[in-house]
Amino acid sequence: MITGTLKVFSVGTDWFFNELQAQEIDVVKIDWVPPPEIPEDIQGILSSLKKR
Amino acid sequence: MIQRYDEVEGRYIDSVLLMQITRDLEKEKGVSKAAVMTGSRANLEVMRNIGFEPPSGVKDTSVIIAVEADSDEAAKAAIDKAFDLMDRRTQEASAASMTLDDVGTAIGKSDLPVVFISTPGEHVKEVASKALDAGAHVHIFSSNVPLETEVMLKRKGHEKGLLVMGPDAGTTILNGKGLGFANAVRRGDVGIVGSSGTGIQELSVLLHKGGLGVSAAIGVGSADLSAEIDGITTKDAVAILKDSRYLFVIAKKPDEKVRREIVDMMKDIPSSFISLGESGEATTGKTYQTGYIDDAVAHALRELGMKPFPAAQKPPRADLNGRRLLRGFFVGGSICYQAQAILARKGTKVHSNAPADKAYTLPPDWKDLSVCIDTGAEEYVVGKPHPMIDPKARNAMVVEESKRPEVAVILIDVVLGFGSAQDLLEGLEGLAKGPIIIASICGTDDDKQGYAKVRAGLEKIGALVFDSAGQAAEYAGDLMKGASG
Repeated sequence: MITGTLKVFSVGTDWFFNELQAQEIDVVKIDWVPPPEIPEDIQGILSSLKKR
Repeated sequence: MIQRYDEVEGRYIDSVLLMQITRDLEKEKGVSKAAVMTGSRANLEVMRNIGFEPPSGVKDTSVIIAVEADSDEAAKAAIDKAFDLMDRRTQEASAASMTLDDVGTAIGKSDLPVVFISTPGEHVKEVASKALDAGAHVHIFSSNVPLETEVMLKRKGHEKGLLVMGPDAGTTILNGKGLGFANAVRRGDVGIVGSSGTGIQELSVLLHKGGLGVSAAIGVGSADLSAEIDGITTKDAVAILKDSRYLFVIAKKPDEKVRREIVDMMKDIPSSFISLGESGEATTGKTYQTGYIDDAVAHALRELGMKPFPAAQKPPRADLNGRRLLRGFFVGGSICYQAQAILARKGTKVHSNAPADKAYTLPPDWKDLSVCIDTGAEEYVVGKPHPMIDPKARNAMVVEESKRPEVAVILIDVVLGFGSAQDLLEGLEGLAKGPIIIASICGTDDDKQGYAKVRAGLEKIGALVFDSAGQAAEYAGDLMKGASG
């Protein structure tokens, strides 16, 4: 049995957030954007720092 | 006609919103066409196919705005409008009051907390891990998540007593509410656990039409019953739903050992295990095993003393006028999969991009073959919304193929419910006369699109309409027995 009052946290597309809202679900939009892409040369430096 | 382009770097906007912006631009005065997409190679190809020539050297993470208008002023105004709409989205996002780090403190004692994730697949590992750490179940709609990430997340969820529904989980119903794509079905005491989204939708709708209701439908993701994932979420969900009056598990090509272990968990309660498209039936304890959704629903109705569905109607002897090919264009992957098995049983072998039988994998040139195409498969949705959200591309394929003189039968599915677009028949009015159009509706009277309205719309374009995808495929298979060649 699954119990409790459904509370949804929506991460990602607005489309599904709006569709959840339309069902009168207790839904919260999570502020999320993809982390910035790190160029490969910087990634190399970061990973060598981690190893140390 | 004037074409103008602009490129926006460093801003994340999801593909559904970009589609909506495209639609808005196309309504602007003087604009004949528009495309607003991320600059992936596949999207640039889509732009070229519709007559744009996007500038070279664009980054695949940029958003490209392409507009064709009858004047430079109109094109410029449309580009400005696109920026305006994107700015509004950014403002709305920054107005959101919560970050992932806040989820833990926002969960109340009596809550059933679920983090619904529809980010690009490469970000799922971080987002879902944080959600589990916060004490929430997760529903991962996103696909393209590596198996090792899925295993890690599911083990972590299992240890914490939390469900990891997905990745690639299209549908879940909890407390009578749908997450992802779901129909407005009656609440009740039948439990569903499934690795196929439209399979869960079709099953829940048929149960609703048979007078039953759903306590919970737990989408576990397409890979859950594989040997690698070992059915972690399915087993957890079956354990949770063991007090159901009747329990269904629906899967596509489950690993044999995983299937045995799950059936062993189910066998003491009235239940069905559906392995889509598989031939033969078996019974283990109280668990009925079948390959077809309608068959499992009929078994449940019988077991629970409910009235059975009317049998599938047989087609009259139809003259196909020498036409010999079948075209199936589906928005539901599971419906496509089941249709292939039914058609094969009826003697029509179809090739598919999502083949039930690998020997019938769709070749590059399929125009002279009978086919069932899953238009929601990866190759059709790169950088674009799923056809249940934007059905225009699927419907355009149907219209185009209806003009071919060799095509005898066109089989389509129309899936209503939350998550699906409001106008699912957009573009179908251009259908050519000639092929017999067979459509199934997966939907209820309470779905937002209005079952009766959609049915009337399909009948208006000359389609024969079925309430079950299985029955529609059976009918198509019977019709094709009269096809030449």
